[in-house]
Amino acid sequence: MSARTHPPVDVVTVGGGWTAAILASKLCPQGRTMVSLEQGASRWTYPEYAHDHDSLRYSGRYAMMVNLRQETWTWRPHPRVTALPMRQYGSFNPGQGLGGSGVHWSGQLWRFMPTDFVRRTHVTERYGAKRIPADMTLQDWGVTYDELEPYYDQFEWDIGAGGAAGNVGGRILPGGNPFEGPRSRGYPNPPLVVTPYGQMFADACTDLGLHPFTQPTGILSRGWIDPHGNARSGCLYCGFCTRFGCEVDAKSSPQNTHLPVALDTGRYEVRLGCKVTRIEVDDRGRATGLTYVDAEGREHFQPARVVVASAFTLENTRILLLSRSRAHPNGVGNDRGRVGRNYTYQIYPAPVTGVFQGRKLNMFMGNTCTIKVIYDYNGDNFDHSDLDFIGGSQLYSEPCEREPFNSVDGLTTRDGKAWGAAWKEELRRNWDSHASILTEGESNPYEDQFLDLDPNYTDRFGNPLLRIAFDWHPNEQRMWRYLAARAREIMARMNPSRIVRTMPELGRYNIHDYQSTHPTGGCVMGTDPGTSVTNTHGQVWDTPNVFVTGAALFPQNAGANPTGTIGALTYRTAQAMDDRYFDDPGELLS
Amino acid sequence: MTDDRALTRRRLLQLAGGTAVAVGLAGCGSGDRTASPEVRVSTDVDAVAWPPLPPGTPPQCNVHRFFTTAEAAVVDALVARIIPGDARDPGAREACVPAYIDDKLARFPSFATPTYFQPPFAKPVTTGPVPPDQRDAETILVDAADAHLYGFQADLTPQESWRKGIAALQAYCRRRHGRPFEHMAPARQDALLDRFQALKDASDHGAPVPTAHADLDAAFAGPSASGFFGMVLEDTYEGMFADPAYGGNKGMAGWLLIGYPGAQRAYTPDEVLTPGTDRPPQSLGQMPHMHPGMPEGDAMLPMAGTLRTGTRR
Repeated sequence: MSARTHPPVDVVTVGGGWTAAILASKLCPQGRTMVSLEQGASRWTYPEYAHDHDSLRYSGRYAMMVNLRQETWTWRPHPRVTALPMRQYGSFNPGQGLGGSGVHWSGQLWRFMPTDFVRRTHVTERYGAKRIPADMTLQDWGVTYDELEPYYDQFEWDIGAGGAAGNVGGRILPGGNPFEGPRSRGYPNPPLVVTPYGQMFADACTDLGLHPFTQPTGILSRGWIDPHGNARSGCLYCGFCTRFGCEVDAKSSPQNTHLPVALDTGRYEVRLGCKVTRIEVDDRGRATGLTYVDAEGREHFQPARVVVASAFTLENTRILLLSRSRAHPNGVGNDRGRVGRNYTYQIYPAPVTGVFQGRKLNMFMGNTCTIKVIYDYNGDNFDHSDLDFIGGSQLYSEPCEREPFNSVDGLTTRDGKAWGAAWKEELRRNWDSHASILTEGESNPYEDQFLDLDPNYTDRFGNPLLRIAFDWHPNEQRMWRYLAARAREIMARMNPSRIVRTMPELGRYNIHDYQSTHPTGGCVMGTDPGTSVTNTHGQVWDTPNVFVTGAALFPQNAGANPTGTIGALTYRTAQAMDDRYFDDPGELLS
Repeated sequence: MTDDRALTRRRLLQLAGGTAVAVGLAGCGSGDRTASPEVRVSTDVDAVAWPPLPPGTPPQCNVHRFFTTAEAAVVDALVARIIPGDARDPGAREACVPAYIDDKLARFPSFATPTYFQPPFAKPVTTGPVPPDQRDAETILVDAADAHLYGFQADLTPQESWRKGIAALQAYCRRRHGRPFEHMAPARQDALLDRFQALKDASDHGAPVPTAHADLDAAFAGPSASGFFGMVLEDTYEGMFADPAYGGNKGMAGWLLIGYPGAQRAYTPDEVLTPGTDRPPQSLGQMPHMHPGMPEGDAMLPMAGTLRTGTRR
């Protein structure tokens, strides 16, 4: 091999995003050395985010996302037909560059509910095993909410999360989410303020006997000095948040939380412009390090005692599959053919959009967290005994970071047009007087819904792209029908002057509409190597010195954004590695 | 859009590189714990082309670099029906949208938005579902009934789509209406755009081409009629409603129309809670400095591909 070989380190990671930064912030102060190989560029709050609220650059041209000129993902609705590449950004927006998707994320911060972690057991016990469709590969996580709670708590207090606690130690508190699992204490900061539309939504929900609360957030609602000494500003409600870096550090990102801690040790290095191409393994099948290509096209090898796949969900799955060897002919972690299994997503569309002529809603002020949410129809918070589906979704008021160039066609005339003189008048009257109710719904795993390598399309190095097989199934379509009806009830209560559109049926998945950057699964965790790729620490069963972090570990996706759970799982992995792994390297953690 | 105060040495350097618009703002400091200690220009081969940078100088409304004079007349007529206007109540024509589209096409010989443009390209077939391995070197077959689910799959660049689409439109208008599009009466133009809309609605839902519009559909060999219409709409929206720093939205006509205050640095919690705003719109170039106390207080937009290789602090 002509690759340049670097001095060995304790840990090397694929990607320099948030989970890598968390691991480094925990392991490097304990004396471990760590290198992260990040395909993108450097970005720091100053000067790189001191930008001009440039919608076209960040929202229109995806300046912070994986460069589709170099690689993408292919998709097909099911395995019996061909896949085509997502040639331009649509369904999801994985980030690249220092901090990964943790820079351009929306800031919506959740804990999954206790029942989410024991999904199969819970559904079986409450409704009977027959309620789970035969091809739905629902499973328990192997870790419970109570086990994760201390890590959720640490993550929230380290980043200065904002919200109103709904359940502290089993006591239900007013103003919070009454359906959340018990927390050991409240949030370090209050929630953000809510825009007029969010308040209208909350009032309608209260009238209907539902339980609205303000979106919990990873965006600071006030100035904050975190436990590591990072001093950060409160939110400016500027309206340029998702897909943008925050110029005042109000939105939590690796750069203003865990990265400074890790880099200050002198034992952590993020090597930028470096694309990892494979995990190398020895004859016994143990990982020896990562091969990567730098910005000048030169090949390198970084040896390490531990390899962590800490990139985005899809790339973590892909790098395991690409790493074929004599010891692991189907890729690392894939000796039993379980890599790629249980790929899930998030049900996101808007079931109903209304016009409130004469009322200004401030849809361009704030962010995705200046809103109200209900959990009454999420998870198993409502009785499914007489319903024809399992699962649920949040319903929430549309986020408030509207940018006109990519949203004007969301307001159409009565005959469905987004052009012409009548449309212009509609825009003049109602551009800031229309809004939607949105969903953030569960996505269940199925046998014909998985990730593998594409036979037809490659990246710039000739390596196969990752291929996604995914579509909505009858359970989710029935769930949508029920939720959309609930959303229409809430909208009706808000007394709109006109309904712009409704979406009573979910229909089929498509890859071209942006939905959410919440692809999950593919390297799922569990307690049974027959139905999982890793144990509950993200440690790969068949290659125990390889770990996976992030949402690729989720056995199925809950009705909430993944970042809080990704953070908590990573804290738990970091602690297990720090406490036990290096004492007995290469052994499976219990 | 530019502000003379911002013309520092660094800004001039940026402009020399063909990029840049100034930034800045007051206050709200990020401490130096999260400041970049070292920034170097990337040698990444894609740094020049991606991501795109805003133009330093807005183009003139009546200057065209990509379109021919004849093509420009069609674009002008098209956008004037998408967002009609006059001198008192500007529409897309008055807001320099045709020049915006021309500038975008001239700047990006390929795609302005990041695009995976490798073969094989898809060829829809009407014989039902196609098993995964049906392909040759150039094309890959896909069930026409599913084609709408896969999003953009064309093998044409925007330059090609605009040029060929305009030619197809003009040929159709001459044949069917006896005159080019720009010489048709506005009501006739709108009626024709309604037919494009019907084709787009069908295409978006994977429905068959409506019989009444089959001749219009057949007149477009590449791009498709619905693809062409969708591109015209999207580029018109960008030109009318994106920041005027990009050369369209002249006089912030688009933002004044809809009541959008543009690139504001901040709103107070009270403003968020109170419906409506009376702030006049402003372009990103008019924003106050971001870090006036910092040595580079008038920091630029992040440069494409800036790369920091030695990351130890």
